[in-house]
Amino acid sequence: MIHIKNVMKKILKNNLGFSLIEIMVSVAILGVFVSLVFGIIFYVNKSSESVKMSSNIKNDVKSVFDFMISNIKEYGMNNSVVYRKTDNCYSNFSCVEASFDNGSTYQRMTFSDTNISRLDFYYSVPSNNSMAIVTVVMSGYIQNSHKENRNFSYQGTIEIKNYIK
Amino acid sequence: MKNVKGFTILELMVSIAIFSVVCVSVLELVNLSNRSNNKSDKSNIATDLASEGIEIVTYMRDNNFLNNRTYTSGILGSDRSFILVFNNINNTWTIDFGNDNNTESINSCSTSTNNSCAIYKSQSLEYYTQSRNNINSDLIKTDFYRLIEVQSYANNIKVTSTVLFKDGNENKIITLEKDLWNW
Repeated sequence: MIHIKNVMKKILKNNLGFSLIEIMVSVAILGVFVSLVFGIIFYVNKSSESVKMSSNIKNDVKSVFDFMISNIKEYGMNNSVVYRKTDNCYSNFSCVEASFDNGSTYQRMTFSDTNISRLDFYYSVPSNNSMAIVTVVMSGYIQNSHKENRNFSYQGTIEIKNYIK
Repeated sequence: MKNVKGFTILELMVSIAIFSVVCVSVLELVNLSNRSNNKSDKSNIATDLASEGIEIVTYMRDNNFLNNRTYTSGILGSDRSFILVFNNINNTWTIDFGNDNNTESINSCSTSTNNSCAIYKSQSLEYYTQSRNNINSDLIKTDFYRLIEVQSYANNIKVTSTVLFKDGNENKIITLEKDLWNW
C-alpha cells in the first residue's frame, strides 16, 4: 500500500509535461495536416462526381442525339419516326420520347437524371425542286445525387430526302 | 523523459518531400482527368459543328442540281472560304463570303482582332450560328470557330470544314473533308 502511494506521489509531482507552446504547435501542425488530407479527399471526390456526370452525358445523352440524327437522316421526317420532348416524364424533368410506329406509342429515350430543356427541329420549307434540311437543337442538363448540374447543348444539321409533314 | 532523441531535420525534410510528392501526383492525376474530360466534351461539339458545315454545303450542291444550276453555284466564288449563317425565322442556312475577296484560313479569322469565323450561340433558343454583321444581344460568342474552304478541281470540288476551339491556351482543330462531284 505504501509502495503504491509513493509511486502516485512520484507521478503527480513530475512536472516534466509539454509546455503550452509545444501543445499549440503540435495542434497547429495536426490541424494543417488534417485539413490538407480532407481537402484532397473532398477535391478528388468532387472531381470524380464531375467525371461521372460527364460520362453519363456521353453515354446517355450524346448517344441519343447521335441516334436521332442518323435515324432522321435515314428515314427523313416522315411520320414513321417521331421525336418529341415531353414535360414531367420524371417528376419535373422533361425527356425525349420517340415513336417508331406512326405515333401510336412513345418510348422514353433519356433517363431520370437528365432534364431536356429544348428539343427543336428547324425545317427549311422546300420549294418544288428542293431537298429538305433540318437543324436539330437539343439541350438540357444532367443532375447528380448532390443536385449539381452539368449542361449540354448539341446541334446537328442534316439534309433529308423526303419531306412529308 | 531522459530520451531526447527526436527526428533529425533531414529525416523530417525527407518525409515531407515524400508526402508532398504523393499529394501532388494524386492532385495532378485528378486534374488531368478533369481537363481531358472537358476537352472531349468540347471536341464532341466541334465534330458536330464541322459535320454540319459539310452537310449544309452538300445540301446546296444537291439543290443546285435539282434546279438545273451549275453544281457549284453559290458555293464557289472568287473567295474560296466562307462562314454559314443560320436564319431561325425561315430555318435556312446561307453562305457569307464576307466583304473582302480574301480567302481566309481558320487561324487568321479566329484571333482577338479578327474573329469573323466565330460561332455564336443564341441564349434564348440555344442554336449555334455564325454571323459577320447581325450580332444581336441574344447571340453570345462561344469558344468555337468554323470556316468552310472550297477547292476546285476538274470534275469536283473539295469541301473542307474546319472547326477550331480554344481549350485553355491551346487551340484544337478538327477538320472534315468531302469531295462533291458534278453529277
